[in-house]
Amino acid sequence: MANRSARPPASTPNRGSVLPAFGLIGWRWVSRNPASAVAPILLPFVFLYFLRLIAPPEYFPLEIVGAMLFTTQNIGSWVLGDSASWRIETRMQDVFVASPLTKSRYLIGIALSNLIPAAPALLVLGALLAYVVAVPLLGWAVLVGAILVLWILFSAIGVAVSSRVKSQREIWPVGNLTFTVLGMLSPLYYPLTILPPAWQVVARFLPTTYAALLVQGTLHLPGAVPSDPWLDGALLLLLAAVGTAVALRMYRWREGD
Amino acid sequence: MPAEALVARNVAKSYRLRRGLTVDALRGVSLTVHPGERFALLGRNGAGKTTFLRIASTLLVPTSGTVEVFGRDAIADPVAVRSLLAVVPQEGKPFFHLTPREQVYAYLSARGFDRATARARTDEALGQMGLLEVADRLSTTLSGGQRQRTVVATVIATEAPLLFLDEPTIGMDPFARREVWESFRRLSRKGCTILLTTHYLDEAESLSEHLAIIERGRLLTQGTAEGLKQQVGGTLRVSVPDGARIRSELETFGQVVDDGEKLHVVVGPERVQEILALAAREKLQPTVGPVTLEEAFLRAVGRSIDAEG
Amino acid sequence: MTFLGLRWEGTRAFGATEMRVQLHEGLAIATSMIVQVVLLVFVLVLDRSILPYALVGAVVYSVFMLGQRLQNEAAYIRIDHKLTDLYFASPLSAEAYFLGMSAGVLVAYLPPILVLAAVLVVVVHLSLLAVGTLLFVGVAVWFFTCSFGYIISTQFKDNRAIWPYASLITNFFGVLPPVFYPLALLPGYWHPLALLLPTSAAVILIEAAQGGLVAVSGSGLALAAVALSAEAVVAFALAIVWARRSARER
Repeated sequence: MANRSARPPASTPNRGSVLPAFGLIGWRWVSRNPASAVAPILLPFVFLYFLRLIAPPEYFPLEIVGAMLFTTQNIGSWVLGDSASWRIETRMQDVFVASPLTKSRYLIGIALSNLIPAAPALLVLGALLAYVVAVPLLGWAVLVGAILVLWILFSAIGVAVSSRVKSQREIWPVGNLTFTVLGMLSPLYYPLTILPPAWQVVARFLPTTYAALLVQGTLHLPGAVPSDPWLDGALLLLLAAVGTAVALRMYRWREGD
Repeated sequence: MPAEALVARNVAKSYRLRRGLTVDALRGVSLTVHPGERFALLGRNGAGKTTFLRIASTLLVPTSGTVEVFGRDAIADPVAVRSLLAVVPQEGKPFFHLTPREQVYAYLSARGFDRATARARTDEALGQMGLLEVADRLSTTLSGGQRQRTVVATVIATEAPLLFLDEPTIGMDPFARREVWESFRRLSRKGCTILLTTHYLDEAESLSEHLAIIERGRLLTQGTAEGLKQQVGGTLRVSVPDGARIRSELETFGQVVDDGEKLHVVVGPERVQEILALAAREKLQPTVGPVTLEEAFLRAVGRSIDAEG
Repeated sequence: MTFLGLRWEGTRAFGATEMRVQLHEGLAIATSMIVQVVLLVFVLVLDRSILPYALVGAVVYSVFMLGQRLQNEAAYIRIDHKLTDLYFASPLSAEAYFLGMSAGVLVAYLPPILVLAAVLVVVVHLSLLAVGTLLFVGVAVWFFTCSFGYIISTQFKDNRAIWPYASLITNFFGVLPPVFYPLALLPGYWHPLALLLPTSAAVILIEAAQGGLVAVSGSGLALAAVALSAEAVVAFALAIVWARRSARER
């Protein structure tokens, strides 16, 4: 019988760490694939350009905020892609599961690594927003808060959906369906009130709607719907908390759970 | 007395298919791995090796049975044991956009190692895997074997008390395999326990101190390589090409195994001359060699480790 | 079977295989319409008057997206499945592989495009001339986009790296130029470029054939037609050369 247990089992760290590992993973993704950062910068501008042509010009600030929230929401789609690819193709998820890193820390890590390519786009859009309207300090705080809440929520949705994907080929259509539809149902690029009534009812169930209403209202943007920012903020937090909890529950960390 | 590294009792796993059909991937496997031991699970493709390894390493929930890792319940409380183990998954690949050095360092960081330790362990693991020359090349530019060694380096760098290695040397050339084996022995000397799955008989024999043969989800036999060979009932193997016409005579010497090209029979040295004479009478040209793990496997499973189905 | 000095044996068989592969992915086929639907929603919500333009654009954009689908598929087969090696080391020629894959993707993704085209015909009351033009430009855009997508697909070693480029290409050709909106909304100095880009040239030709949708001179329309045809032919030739070269390199 071998018995060389010279080291006690507790000699390895018993708590995983997110920032250095996933910061490196995210940064290297951007530094070695610059298009991964350039695409998120350009995409909202393509939409903004299209909207600028067909929408009333006074909605432009509202559309910029919408582009920021839409970019944040899109992080979920990239999280889905990474998470599914790491599970199905590289099997690195197995390597992470069999480690002290917990499911929720892995989620934060993968969300962080995908926030990095989105960050330049958010900064450029923020600068553009500051250029077209005066944004008070409180406005920035609310905007950043809304972005953080949506970032976590949609990253959680991304990993949850990824654990149900069976093949790499499903990633693109499933992500496209989930995140584009969720994004379009919320009044990100247009005021809620110009949507058909049935659509408005559906939009009221989506956290992104309250993120948009909250920011639009706080910044008093043209086209903003008169509403109570406290109520919008509370509903955003409530829906995001419920959504994140459900997503984490849906997320299969250990196969068969 | 210290707890065993791994104790599995009656571990079973069934998968439900469509139309109410079920597949039993594991049917009540029980085994014990002692601390510091190198333990090999040997079996054909689809025998249940990977399923067992995934359950024991907290990646998969079993249908029934219990698993303890260093005395802690790995099924009910996987979080409690995960800091004690690490896994090389089957057909794992490193992150495509990282170099081997970044890959290993990132994983050690994620496991909570401080920067200095992570850097030192990264260099050490890459050195052991013979990857220092390509440590700063992008993974996409590496050969298949180098990528596999990167994944192994990622995991062994943790020096976790219990390492699970699922077919760890697949795709490697013979020289690299031996380097990897040596690194496993080194880890073992440091006190790490290793459970590996393999269908390479030479790997199991050379590397493991204890091995178990698994077939169709059942653990058929276990012991040391020498012990399993002794169970075969002889020390020499006589192989007779095109020996069908003397099969009945051969069967009087012991169990005859037909691999499609040759008939094999295991005997003691005292009976070899009789078989050679019998073969010479029929103008056949038999060969004689020492009993290997292959005979032990054939005896336990009834077919070659490379046989399909 | 040789044509233009190239071997096309196996194109039909490989195309049928590829079509079956694609048809297993109903969700991908269904979601191939999402961007078009989103942009149509923008138009419906914000400016319903440009709906005819957006519908023409949606059909052309859908054909253009076939190239993106092919780009992903070709990369996936090469990087993940490593089946390209298997095909290239067989009697199937590189040109038959490329054309077969393009045809397979086209057939599988045709139904939603036809539905969209039917909506266009009904809503805009498309004339016979415009329908004929739609068919002509559709084939040209298909040749261009599949060729372009195939060439791009050979440039990557990691599937994930392709996606950002794919979305950039899609938006550069599909959303920025006047595909979903009238040419008149674009500043005049950009008009020549719009006539040269395959997607907007295709849309402008259909709109001109319908009459009353776009005001472009005869020479402008000739430029669009020549540019689109030349781009389709040149891109297709390049893709053939590229396919053969990448097969040889293996």
